[in-house]
Amino acid sequence: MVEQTPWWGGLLLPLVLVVFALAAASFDSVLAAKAAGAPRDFARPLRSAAGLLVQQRRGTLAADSLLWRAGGVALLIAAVLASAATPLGDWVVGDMSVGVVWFNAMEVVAWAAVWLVGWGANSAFGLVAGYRFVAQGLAYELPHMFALITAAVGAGSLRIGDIVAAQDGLWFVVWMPVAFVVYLLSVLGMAFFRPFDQATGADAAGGVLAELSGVDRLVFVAGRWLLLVSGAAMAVPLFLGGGHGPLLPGWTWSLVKTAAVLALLVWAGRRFPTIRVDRLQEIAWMVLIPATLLQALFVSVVVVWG
Amino acid sequence: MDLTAWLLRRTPPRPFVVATPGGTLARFAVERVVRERGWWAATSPAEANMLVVAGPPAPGLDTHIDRVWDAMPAPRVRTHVRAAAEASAVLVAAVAQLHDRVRQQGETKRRAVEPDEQVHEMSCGSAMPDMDHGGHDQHQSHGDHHEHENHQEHNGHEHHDEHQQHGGHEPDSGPEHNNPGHDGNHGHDMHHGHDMSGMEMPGGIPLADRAADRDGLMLDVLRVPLGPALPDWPAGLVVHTVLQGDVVQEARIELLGHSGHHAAWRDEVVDPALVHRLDSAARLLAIAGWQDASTTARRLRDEALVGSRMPGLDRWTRQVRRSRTLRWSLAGVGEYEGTDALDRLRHWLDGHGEPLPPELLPDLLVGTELAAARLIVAGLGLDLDQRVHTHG
Repeated sequence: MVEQTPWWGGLLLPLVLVVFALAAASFDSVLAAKAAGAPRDFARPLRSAAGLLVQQRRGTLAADSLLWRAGGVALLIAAVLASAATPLGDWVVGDMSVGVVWFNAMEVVAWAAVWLVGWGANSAFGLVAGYRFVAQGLAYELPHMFALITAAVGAGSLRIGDIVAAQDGLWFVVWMPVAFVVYLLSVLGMAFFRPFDQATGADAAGGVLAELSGVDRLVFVAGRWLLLVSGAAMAVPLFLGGGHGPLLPGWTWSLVKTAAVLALLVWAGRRFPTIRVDRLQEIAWMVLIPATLLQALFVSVVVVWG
Repeated sequence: MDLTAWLLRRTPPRPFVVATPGGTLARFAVERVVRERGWWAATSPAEANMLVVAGPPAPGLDTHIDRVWDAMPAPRVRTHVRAAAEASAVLVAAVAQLHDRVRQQGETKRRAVEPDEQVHEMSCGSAMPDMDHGGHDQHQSHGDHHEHENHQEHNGHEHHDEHQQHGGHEPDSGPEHNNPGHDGNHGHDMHHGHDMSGMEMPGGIPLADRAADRDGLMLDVLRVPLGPALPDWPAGLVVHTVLQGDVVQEARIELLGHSGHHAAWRDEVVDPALVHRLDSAARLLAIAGWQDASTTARRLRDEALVGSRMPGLDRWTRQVRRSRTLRWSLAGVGEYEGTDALDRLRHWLDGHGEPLPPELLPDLLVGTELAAARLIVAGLGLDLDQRVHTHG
């Protein structure tokens, strides 16, 4: 039932993602204003973007400019491409037989992108933070992949459309709750979003962001928000029944569910202090990986015997 | 219609706040304006468009503040809040300057020619470090790193007196430049071409030295000074660190600009101990990456400053005390006499806990990761202005 859009769907996709990213950033700034007792400012992300557009690009001494700037662009592109496999209701930009693998492959680009940005500036803090993200990848990536695989096993297919179709009666979140939760955690991790934001931490002067200014910063920060949106959007077809839902058309359900997941992630992220990468490592390997393996085992048994 | 001017007018201010010794109350006032107007403070000069110096002029810090200024991209504005009462007016005027097209065009032009000036400054060595410090900084890199033990000893004990002395009697001796021999860009203290040695090296930066690290591996040695121009950092404190990888191998402290003539802020506040505890908690939480809890702590601090009721205090205290993730981040950080940063934070929440002296820092910092260093500093709850009062 999920069908590939004509070619112009590919042009529409970035727009939809940007609208979601702006909405999420706006929600985030409203939450920040509430905590500060400041007036609400819904247009804050747009004004920040305006400020970055007129800001000078900064160079640093002996920077590896090509790789430094390429990192941000790679992050942006990877975030958009990852969503090519995500269906909106019945439409998908790329109806791939290996959609899950495609999504995973694109988001792994973030590893290289973030590290390059940290490396390129030739700054001690940037470099330290770049390595923090690589270490964070070691923590979240395996649980993330097991969570993805669990959904694929449940549907018996790597095609996202098949996974959505398999949830016609029962959403996967109902019998794969552990995989769902771990997936959401890993989305926050891969978008190095709060509370897994040590790669841009205040303890390291903004980490990989420490030396970025102007349009370079805009590209990188936008890429990060788009990555978060991509991850949140993919949670819908994987675990929340995609476009399935009563009354409303499928695409509306996709939008509503995506917005809900995104809002949850942004809100939850503000509730916790930054989780240090070394602590995350313990949690990931001692708790998350065993938990996702058990979840995958349970799903496999149900699929084989059920 | 001029698009640049239109965008410029919509630019949200991103203040980078540097407090000077004796400027505690001015800083509180600045932070209050920043918070209530919904501005977001910058974590690095690259992010900032407004440099706010809070507190009385401190000549010892000027070079460091200039360096932050040099590292800030245009549009930008620099302003100085000398006393708490003028914070609001000065910052509003600064925003007007930030949004002023003509003025910012000037900034952009100035920025464009600056690199050459800086190269000139570097090559004629006009900014040489003062002789006392030069001894350490310029020559330390020639091979005494392997004696870590000695250095720790050295840092732990001998330097205290020396630095207090500097702080106390030679406020102008301060400007120690980003040390020669290292990679030039140290986050905050970074600047273009201020490094003073190695002019013949490719790119103007000499290669890092190497030395055996704690595991016997040959690793690059980086000198990264932390402070004094950092947000949420004790005013006038500089921690000179030697890093291998991201592990602090050596650390020594220096106190700039504490000349001892500042009015003590504690005399002007109803409950200074409470205010200080809330402020320390706010700074520690900010470094620990818990923005909202930190903001709430600052709001409570501002209420405590004027002696008003603090309706959110209990809720905030409970939330911070219960946070398991905060426990993960702070447990075991900066252990001293059986208490770590987490214990000390809890003491602050409980309403006791006195500030610890900065002399503890070198011992606490050596052997930790750079990531933990700022948590350790924030976790001591230093009040250097109080020192000024009692010692000066």
